[in-house]
Amino acid sequence: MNVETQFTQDNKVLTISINGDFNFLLLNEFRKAYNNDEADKAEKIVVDMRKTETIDSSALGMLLNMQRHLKKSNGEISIVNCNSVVEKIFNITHFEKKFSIE
Amino acid sequence: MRKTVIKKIWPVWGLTVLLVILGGVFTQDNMWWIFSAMLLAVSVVWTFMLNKALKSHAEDNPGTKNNSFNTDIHTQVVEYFENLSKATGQEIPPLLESMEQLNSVVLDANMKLQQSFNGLTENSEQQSQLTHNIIEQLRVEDENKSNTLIFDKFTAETAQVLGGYVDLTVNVSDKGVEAANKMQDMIGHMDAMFSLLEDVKYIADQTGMLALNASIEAARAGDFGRGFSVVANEVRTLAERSVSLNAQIHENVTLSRETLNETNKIVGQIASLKMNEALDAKDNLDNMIVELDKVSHFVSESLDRSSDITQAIQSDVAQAVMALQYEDVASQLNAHVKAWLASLGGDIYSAQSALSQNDATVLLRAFNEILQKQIQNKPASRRAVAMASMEQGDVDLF
Repeated sequence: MNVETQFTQDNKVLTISINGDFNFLLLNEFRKAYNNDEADKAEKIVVDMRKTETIDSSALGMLLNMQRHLKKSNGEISIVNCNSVVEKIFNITHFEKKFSIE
Repeated sequence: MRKTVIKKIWPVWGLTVLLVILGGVFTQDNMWWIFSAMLLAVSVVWTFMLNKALKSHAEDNPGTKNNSFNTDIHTQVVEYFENLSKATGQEIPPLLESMEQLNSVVLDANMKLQQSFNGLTENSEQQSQLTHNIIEQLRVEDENKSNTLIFDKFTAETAQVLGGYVDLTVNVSDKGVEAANKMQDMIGHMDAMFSLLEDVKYIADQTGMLALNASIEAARAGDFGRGFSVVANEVRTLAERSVSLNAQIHENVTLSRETLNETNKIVGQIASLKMNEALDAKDNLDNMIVELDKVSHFVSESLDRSSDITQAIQSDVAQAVMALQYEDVASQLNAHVKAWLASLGGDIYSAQSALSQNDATVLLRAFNEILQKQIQNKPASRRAVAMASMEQGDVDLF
């Protein structure tokens, strides 16, 4: 599995982990991770990119679509453990204004 | 002359007095004393008279014999002054001419130097103007209406273009992913349609079976069932047509699904842009901004320095032009030297005229007066004042 989901015991926090390359091939898999009732009920979404190697612009589109779908405001979705290249991409696309990048 | 006579008499006097005293002592005779005393008195009177006579002689005849010029020396002096007059007569006019030439050379050189310094000032001003024009070309008004170097504007605009490109990329991907998601939804709906079509096909098949059964039952009923057999056949035909339509729908939906899958892939390609290029461009831009900032600073500093240098050049030239006014001092010195040479010629002529005097004392006095006059003119001290003023660079003097 390239996309793994994990809820905390109280179901308040959903962590979505992405392995390998985060690109258009993960479109459906990534969508399934948040496009469900449990995810709708979660108060916080964390996208863990510890195992993510590269991202392209479709990954940015998928993150933005997720945000719109979950009706989460800026900063309510966290993106954590980015490598330096990924962080640079978030930097030049000003994603730190829309997501909480840690 | 008088003193010499007296000096020669004094030893005789001494010897005489000594002999008188010795004679008196040896003879022990009063007559000796009386005679000697009378003799001495006469000698004293005689000596004083001689002395007085010599003195009056000296005062009455000053020019005679010893005071008078030796004719030969006089001739030599006259000849010397004639030669001196000739020599100065020959030398002074060319000297005056040389002084005049020197003056004109100095004047000419000075004029050329003035011209070249004026040219230097002009060129320096032109250079300054050129530099100023460069600044004007490099400076532009930015959004805040403040002056900035064109490099800064260029980098700002480049950053803006890159930012626009990145925003566009993100926007396209966002919309692409949204479209792809919607297509996935459509594919889901189509899969549901396939299931429904299966149900419809099952119903049509069942209807066909029922129609077949109805025909069989109608045939068994004989003439009574003939009309029902027609209806059953119609129903069967409808069922068959329904199956056929179902198959066509299935085929079309399958085609649509395939097309949708193809479209999804294309949208995926549109939405999937590698961000490396944007990153590289961003890195390049950042480096370029740093480099251009350095250049910008360098240009600003250089322009300031250039302006300072121009001012320094103009100040130096002004000082040089001021210093060139030594020409006035040179002219003054020239005039002094000329006056002095002319006066020297006059002095020699005066000295020559004085030679008609035969008396040495009068002649020497005349010479002395000429020299005295020359000293009072003080050309040397005047020259020293002029030189000192020039060294101090006293502008007021000029």
